[in-house]
Amino acid sequence: MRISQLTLKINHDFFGGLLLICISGGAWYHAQSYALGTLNRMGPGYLPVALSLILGGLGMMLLIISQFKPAERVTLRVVPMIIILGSLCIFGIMLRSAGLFPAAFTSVILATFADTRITWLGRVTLALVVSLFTGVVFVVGLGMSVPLWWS
Amino acid sequence: METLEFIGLGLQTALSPSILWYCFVGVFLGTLIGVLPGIGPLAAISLLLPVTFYMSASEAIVMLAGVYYGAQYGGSTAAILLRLPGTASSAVACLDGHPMAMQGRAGVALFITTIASFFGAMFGLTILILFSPHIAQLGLMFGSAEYFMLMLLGLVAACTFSNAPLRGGAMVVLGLLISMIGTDTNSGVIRYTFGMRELAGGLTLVAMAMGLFGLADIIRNVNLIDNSKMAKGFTLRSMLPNPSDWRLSLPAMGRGSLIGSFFGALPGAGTSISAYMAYAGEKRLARKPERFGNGAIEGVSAPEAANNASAQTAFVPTLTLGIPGDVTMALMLGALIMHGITPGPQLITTQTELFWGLVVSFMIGNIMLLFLNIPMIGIWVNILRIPYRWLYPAILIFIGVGVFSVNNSVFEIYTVVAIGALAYILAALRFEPAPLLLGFILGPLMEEYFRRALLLSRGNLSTFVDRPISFGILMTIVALLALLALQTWRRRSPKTGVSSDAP
Repeated sequence: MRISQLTLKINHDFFGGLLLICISGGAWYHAQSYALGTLNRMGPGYLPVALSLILGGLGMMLLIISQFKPAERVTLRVVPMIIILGSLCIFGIMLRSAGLFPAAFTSVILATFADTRITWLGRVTLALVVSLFTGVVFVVGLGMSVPLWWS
Repeated sequence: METLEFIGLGLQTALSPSILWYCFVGVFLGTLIGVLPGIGPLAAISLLLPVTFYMSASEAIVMLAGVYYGAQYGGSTAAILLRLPGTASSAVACLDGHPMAMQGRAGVALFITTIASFFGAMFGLTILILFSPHIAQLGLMFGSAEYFMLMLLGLVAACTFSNAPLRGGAMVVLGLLISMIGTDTNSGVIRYTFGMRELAGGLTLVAMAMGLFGLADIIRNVNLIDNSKMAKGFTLRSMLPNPSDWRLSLPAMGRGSLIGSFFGALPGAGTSISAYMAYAGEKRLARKPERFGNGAIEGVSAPEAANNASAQTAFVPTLTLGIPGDVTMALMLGALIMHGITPGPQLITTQTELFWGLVVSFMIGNIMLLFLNIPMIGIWVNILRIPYRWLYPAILIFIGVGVFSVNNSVFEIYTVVAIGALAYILAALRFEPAPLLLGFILGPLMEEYFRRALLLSRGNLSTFVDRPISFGILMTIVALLALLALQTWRRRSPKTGVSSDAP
């Protein structure tokens, strides 16, 4: 099997806490431009500031806890993630310009590369079946307004 | 007597051809995705949400609910035959169901799970019918302060019951924060859109649910699920349990149903916890606990009855108070709101036909499931053989088309990609996505109730303490948190085992 994932020996509490603190910091910083208001009449910034402070606090707690725990193996499946998310992006890019059928066909072909056991015949058959099926169900059946083909 | 009249009214609604059809579609799809490992009911309900735009509110809920409780039936099939839980709540069925299959008793295990599921579901439904009107009456006395407190209780309980409370809590808060994206309803100020005007309306529920459960699950499962090693085949005749199986199973089903009904109606608990509680209970009651894990039939029937009972009673707080107990219920709540129906204590009186139609359709759906799962079990066993590599590309395209159809906008596809990436990274760092979605859905409702309560009390926080019901709920929250702290502290000290007396 190909090497398609990243296995890191990291402390997931540490990195989890760090991620939470980063998110809360960003949220807190952005909320500075919204009026705070008072408890009686809360402005648009009141809850975002409060929530980002709580999130930051929880992140800190995780960070502290992480100091008492050993590192563990965390697997990040980088290649499958890129393939799956990438093929969905391609679907989005092609949907309006090329039409539903070509978009679905292309992204199914791309998505199948995340699996190592599929053959080319299987790939093409699957892509044909899925794109025909979605076309029939969503455009013909449910009347979704998106072109089937480019014109 | 009155209840019977209402059930008659419900029958009229539930027996209309379109409701019957969507009920069947729901339970059929539910069994299907329950059987297939790698797709859970949450992903399936999120995938179906956009399709329900084309239906009436009752048709939509009947179908989505069918998927939910149908998946509880199907989930155990994969668990027993492959040791792969089709749904999270059927993970318990692996423990004794798979050993049974290895002993050549797969048929018996499948038969008993279906009977136990039906038994549990009917028990839960009876509770739903008997208690809902009373709880709704109680709910009429609640004001904004009580609603806010109840939702807070739901969120706190969801964290307490999850396996890592601190992380669960962080996910709830992150979900609340993400729900702030978009236009603030009170001031009209646009928050956290980073200059993208498509975000002014906030992230859609469909994109959130599909990204968190659909996409992240695909990335996690692709190329890993192996369903080629199936337990031995079986005939229909080999499915019939012997008398001693019945004698052991029936009381276990009763106990499982009781446990499941209780935990299902609690905010924050849900089907998985019910199944685990029922299993632990059986093991403690058993005269020979060592049989468990080696194919004890009570270890299959009790948790199955429990998760189905809780799948039904979970509707009690959702339909009567508008407070979802778990994420799936939160999605149901979202679907109701999308159809312009506000769940709450008024629902039973103002939407009488909808409520009783739903309840009766649940009954019909469970009867359908009995037939779908016993005579037609062979079909599901064959479906179980479909490799995941044929399924995930189709799911991926459905996600794409589904989110696109919400607003007819390609932008939604990119948001679901972004949410999927975040969800996967969070999952890799062992954060659970369910509390995040719960926070996201409850966020706007809680903000609204919180503000209204404070507006009524002129900014005085003591309103939450002065009102007796609100104070009672607050005390429950405090008790839960205290229990949590105690449990964490006890787990630290090496002497005692892992949370033996937790609720």
